Amino acid sequence: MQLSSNLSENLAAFHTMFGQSADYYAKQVTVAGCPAAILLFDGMASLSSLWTLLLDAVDRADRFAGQPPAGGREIFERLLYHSDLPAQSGPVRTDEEAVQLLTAGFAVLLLDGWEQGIAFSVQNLQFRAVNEPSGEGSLRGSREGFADLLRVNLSLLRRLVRTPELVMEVAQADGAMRTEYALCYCRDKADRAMVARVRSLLQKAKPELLLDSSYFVPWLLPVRYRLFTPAGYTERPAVAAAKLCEGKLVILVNGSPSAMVLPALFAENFECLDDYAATAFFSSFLRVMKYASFYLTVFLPGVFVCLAVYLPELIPPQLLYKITAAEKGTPLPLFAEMVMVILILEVIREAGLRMPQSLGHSVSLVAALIIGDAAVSAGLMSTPVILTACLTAVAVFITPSLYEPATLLRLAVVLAAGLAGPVGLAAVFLVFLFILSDVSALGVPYLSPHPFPTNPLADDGVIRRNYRRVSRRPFNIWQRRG
Amino acid sequence: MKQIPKECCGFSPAAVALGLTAAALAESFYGPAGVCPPRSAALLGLAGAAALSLAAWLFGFWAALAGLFSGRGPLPRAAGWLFFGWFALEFARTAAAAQTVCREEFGSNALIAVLPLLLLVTWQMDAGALDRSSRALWWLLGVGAAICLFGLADQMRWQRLFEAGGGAAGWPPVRVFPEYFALPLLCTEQDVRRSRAALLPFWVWAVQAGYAFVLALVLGRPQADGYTGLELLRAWAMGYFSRLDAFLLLVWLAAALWRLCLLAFVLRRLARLNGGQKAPAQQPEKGAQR
Repeated sequence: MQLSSNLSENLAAFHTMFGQSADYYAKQVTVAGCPAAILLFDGMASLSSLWTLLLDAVDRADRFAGQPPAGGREIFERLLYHSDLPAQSGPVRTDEEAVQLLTAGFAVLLLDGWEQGIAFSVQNLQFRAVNEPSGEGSLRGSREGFADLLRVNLSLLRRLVRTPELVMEVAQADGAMRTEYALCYCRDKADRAMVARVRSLLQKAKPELLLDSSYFVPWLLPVRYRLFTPAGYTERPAVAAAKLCEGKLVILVNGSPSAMVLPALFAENFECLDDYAATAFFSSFLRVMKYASFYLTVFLPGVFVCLAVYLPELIPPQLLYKITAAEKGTPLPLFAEMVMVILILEVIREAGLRMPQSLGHSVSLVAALIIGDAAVSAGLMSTPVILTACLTAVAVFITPSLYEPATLLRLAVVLAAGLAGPVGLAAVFLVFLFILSDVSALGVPYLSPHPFPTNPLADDGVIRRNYRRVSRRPFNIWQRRG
Repeated sequence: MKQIPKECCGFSPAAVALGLTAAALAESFYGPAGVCPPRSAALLGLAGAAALSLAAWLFGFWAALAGLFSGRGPLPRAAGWLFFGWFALEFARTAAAAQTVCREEFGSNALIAVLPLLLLVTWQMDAGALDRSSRALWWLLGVGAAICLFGLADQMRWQRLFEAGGGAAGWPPVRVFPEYFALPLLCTEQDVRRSRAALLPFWVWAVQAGYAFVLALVLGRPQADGYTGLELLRAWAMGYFSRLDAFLLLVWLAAALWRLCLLAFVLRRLARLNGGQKAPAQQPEKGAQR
């Protein structure tokens, strides 16, 4: 609604909206003889800087000396257009605009006799310090992680990508909380059509609550069932900046340190910042290890069940004797045992993650006793099964971003191998492959960087070449479109 | 993004070749061992592959010009149904080969339950996704073949190539697959024009001749009847590991199942073209997925 030229009416309207809120602050003042009011939210805007920057300056006698007494409009124009005060460049015309600015930490000055206000940039928002993110460890490179405040995160990005091509569009989500989000991209590297498509999808999105960038996924990538999401997440400004320079789009949401990167590739789940700091040989070795761990975590329990139950002749005799001896003492079939151990490990992991940290050690200890010793001693489970399940449970944490699909796929593989044997194993492998190759975002297939047989090992794929050589041909995601 | 005509599936030649490799391997597995000498399999097979390749290229060129797979007009429709029948036959043949392997080697009839499930998963998939999945299978087949050769290396004897007697030296059996002559339907126009797709018979030849060659190196010419190509896989062993043939058969089974999915895709496309149906309307709510 349009602001009124009557100060009392404006104040009454704001009082109706926020009067019951303890943090709402409205102070009536006189500016150069004209009745005015300062509105702000306590804790979001700094009162001291407001007085220092604004009122002290405008109340100085010499500022308006020699000028005839003026109404609200004249003072508004003098302050907004003919003063050095840190005001927003445009006027505040409606109460929606005023609310938007007030909730962003601005102070709004309303003058009697004029239906527009002035917003002053005196934010003093409290936010978590820029710390190293706990979920993305690295040995070298930047230690900074995104904070929770959108503006801080944008400044972190701007500090790293110091080119005029970096665009950071900020908008409000159409939800109950009217949360701010930002769409960031490099103008010269990102595909314009795709930027427009994502912008439009974000504008049309109607999340009831927007607490993280991942809340946009059902609008950006609508699908009934999904195992792999062609969107990446990072809490590191350095990673987000690198992705921007590859032409990708980064979506940040106010209140969350997690940035969504679109589109993402499957191979990127096996890459990290350290890869480029280490030698090409070592980082290639690590990547191969990561791929092996991922496939191990998905397929090892299923393959174990399939071999032990249906194809024992594929297992070396000595190992087979040990497995058979261990299995003889347990009441459950090997397949059911494996499913049970996997589910128990998931329960323990979830408990360890959600409970207060002070209790975490006790739970780990109890779980280790139950799984590691009591279950074997009681003859409920066999050691080879526990060993296999634990190995896969540990291996999954090498690629934490693939935790969800890996866990579900592992169970599916065990079920298929246990119920249908080798045929089920081959079929579930194909299903895994089909699911993986069917994923794409913005025209970029999730599996795109592995063209076969023309270029099986890309410059920066499963293995990576020398960084000097990689840098000769800068990577751009839009080259990968199918 | 590449624009692919509606009647074209848009598979890469490498993807189509994967299906043909699976079919060629099935023939090698269950074909009689040592009937065709490796030299004739290599030389006469090469001539046969060259002739087939030329025929495939000429037919593909003409079919593209005549719009044989457009589904519009009596000739394209007749040709469409003819190819539909041929592909359906190939589907049945591949399914039978896969079921034989499952039953005889793994003692399982699970394929009967698994195949519909796989076809259901691939029902909504586009050709590009099927194409991408073939790359991983190529890798697996390559790794499997390399490990198999490594395991057989100590059993290979060059003199076995020159053993006398055994089967009659003549033209090796040449199978004609519908993929050879449906290039404008399967591959992009670019691939057909560049004649990369017409080289498909050479892939089949390379697989069959290579298999016959290694079989002869390992087993020579079996004097008794009843030996099949599977004996080569059974001869494969590595130290403590026995029956490693099951490993390669599993990889083959995955490739055969993939071929069945590809053939089902082509059959759906042909049925739609012949029935005069339009391509299904793009789903309105795709977001940023495609």
